[in-house]
Amino acid sequence: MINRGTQSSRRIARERWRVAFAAVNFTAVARVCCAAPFAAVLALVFAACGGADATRDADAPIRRLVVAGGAAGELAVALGRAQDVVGVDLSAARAPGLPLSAPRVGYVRSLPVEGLAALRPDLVLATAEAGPPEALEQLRALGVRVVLLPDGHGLDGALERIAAAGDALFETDRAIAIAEELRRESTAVRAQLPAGVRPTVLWVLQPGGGAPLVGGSNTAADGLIREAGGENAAAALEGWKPMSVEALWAAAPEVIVVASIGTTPGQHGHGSLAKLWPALADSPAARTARVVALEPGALSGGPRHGEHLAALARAIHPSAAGLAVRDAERTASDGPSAKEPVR
Amino acid sequence: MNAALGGRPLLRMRRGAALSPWRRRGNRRLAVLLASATLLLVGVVLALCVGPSGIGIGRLLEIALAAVGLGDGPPAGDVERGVLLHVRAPRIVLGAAVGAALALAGAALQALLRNPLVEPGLVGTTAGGTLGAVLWIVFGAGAVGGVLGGFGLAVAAFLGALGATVLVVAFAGSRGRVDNAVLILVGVALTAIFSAGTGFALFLADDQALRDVTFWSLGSLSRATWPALAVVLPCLGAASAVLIARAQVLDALLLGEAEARALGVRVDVEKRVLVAASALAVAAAVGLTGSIGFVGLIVPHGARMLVGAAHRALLPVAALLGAAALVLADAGARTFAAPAELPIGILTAAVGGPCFLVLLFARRARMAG
Repeated sequence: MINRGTQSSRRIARERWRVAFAAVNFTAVARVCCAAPFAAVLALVFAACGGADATRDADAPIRRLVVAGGAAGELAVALGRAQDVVGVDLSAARAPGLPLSAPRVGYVRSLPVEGLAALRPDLVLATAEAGPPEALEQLRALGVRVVLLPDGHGLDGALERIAAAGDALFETDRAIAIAEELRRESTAVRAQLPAGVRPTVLWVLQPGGGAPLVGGSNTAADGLIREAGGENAAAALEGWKPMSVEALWAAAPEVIVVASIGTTPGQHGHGSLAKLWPALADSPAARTARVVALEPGALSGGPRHGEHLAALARAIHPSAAGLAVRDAERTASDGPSAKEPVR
Repeated sequence: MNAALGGRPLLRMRRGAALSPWRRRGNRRLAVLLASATLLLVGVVLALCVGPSGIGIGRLLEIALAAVGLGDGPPAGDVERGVLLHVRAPRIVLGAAVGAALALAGAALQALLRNPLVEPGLVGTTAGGTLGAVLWIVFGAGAVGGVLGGFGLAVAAFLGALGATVLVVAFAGSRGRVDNAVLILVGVALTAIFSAGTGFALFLADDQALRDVTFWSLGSLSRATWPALAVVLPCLGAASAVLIARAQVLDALLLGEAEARALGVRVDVEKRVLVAASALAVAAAVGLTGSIGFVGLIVPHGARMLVGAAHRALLPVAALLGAAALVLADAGARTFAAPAELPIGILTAAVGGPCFLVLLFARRARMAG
């Protein structure tokens, strides 16, 4: 550090130590030592006194449930446990039927450890994307039971999730019934699909101008489109990707599906589509007015998978008589899940 | 430049006549140091006490005493014990260490480059760390995630940050000398290049990876666990120690490089040491917490306003204030949106910005009046 002869540099070093030592004010150190316990006690006294001790029995039935992820929320409702939900994440909160007053614990991919532990849940039921992994580990270390639902697209994924949620919530019988119903719905839809006709379908996630985010291969959208008898117009892309205007033009989808947060079914007519994406406005889908809006939960792959599948199949194959009749029944019984293409 | 760095000749001239013993410089520094230490201590205690689980005061003391071997506290499986010892405590330790290291790095680099706008990320460190983290989230986690487990993200960010700094210094140096202006400009250029790489990775990323990156970039102490701390704390501690030990070198460098050389400071060696120590601090911090802005830029300025530009007093105060700032911000982050958690970067900026303005105006009023 000092570029001189050794002797003088040693002298300077010694001098520096002396100065540095003199700078340490022992009164200050002493005062800090005195102040520390004082401040600690003061702060402790003023700290909130709450938190009654709650002892939990590991084998007790699940009375306090936290759900994270769209499918987890829907499954809690479908399995009849909505009233036990004491915390939801932002994506699970969209599931119809959950108590609106349940505290929000953030987003499923950034779960807070202490926030969740503070809710004292008997079970945290989450979809596979839950994280961060450190948080899940810490929660388990705290003795919180965390169950992640299996990943997977399409009908098989939905069935696996239903079975796993049923096991986790000790509602196996109900889960089997729901799975049976879903299988039946899916088979019915498949039976009605016209053979050999597979229109191209583009699934648009982000209804907000710019390059739209579209569902490529290996997405929940891709699985749903193929099950509903369509061909994914964006299959060349992997995952959810923004698609350029030129590529949109070239893809020329025959059906466009819009499903996102903030989308009201039936909202996207030809006019608004033209305003957002001029390239899409000239597509076969827009020309024939086959633009459908599905509700945001359509991609969660939960117990209502069959319902969304039927709605999409009807949009892709409007001429299939069986689908239309089936859907008319549904509309009469529990309300529409997808509107007629808007003209 | 001198005024911006907290040079206080005007103040001292005015005070020379005042002669209030409490106002004498040494006492003032002592008082500020003491106040900073108390603030940190209160912050630590407060952060231990608050949180969404609302642990009662009796339980808190019982668990704390049991942890240091006095009395037998609750059994190992107890949730409150776990929350206190394995959630809150590591976060507080990490927050204090990161805050202190970032503030020290900021103070050192501001003096070294004699530029008040410098923050530790300016020499490319943060951009490199971000690139490393984003590459890991987008490509690495799926491919080699099993190898490093939960540490992968931290390691990738750490390597990115260190690599960036090595590159910057390598580019900026010529014939053994590192020119300040070139150092800053190379840092800016490499930051742009790294940002381009980050942007391209984000373009290739899927929806989930995008969300992960968003949360990472907002910063959080929630990754703090004792095993992770065992790796990160030595890095932060070493960097902080090196920086604090350079107080007199920094004082000399404030005069200018030629003057520092004349005083016997080996400027080119010291410069590399200072940049390396700062980079180590930022890299270790960024790996575990994401990018936490503001602390490294503004805390040193605040400390300078309180105790002046002499680094022997400035560095400890900056370290204490930086530690206190992050510990308090994290306590707020855990509490305000409970049971959800706010990103800590929002709080440090939202609370620290106004505090800094108050300091600024108070100082101006004093100088005017």
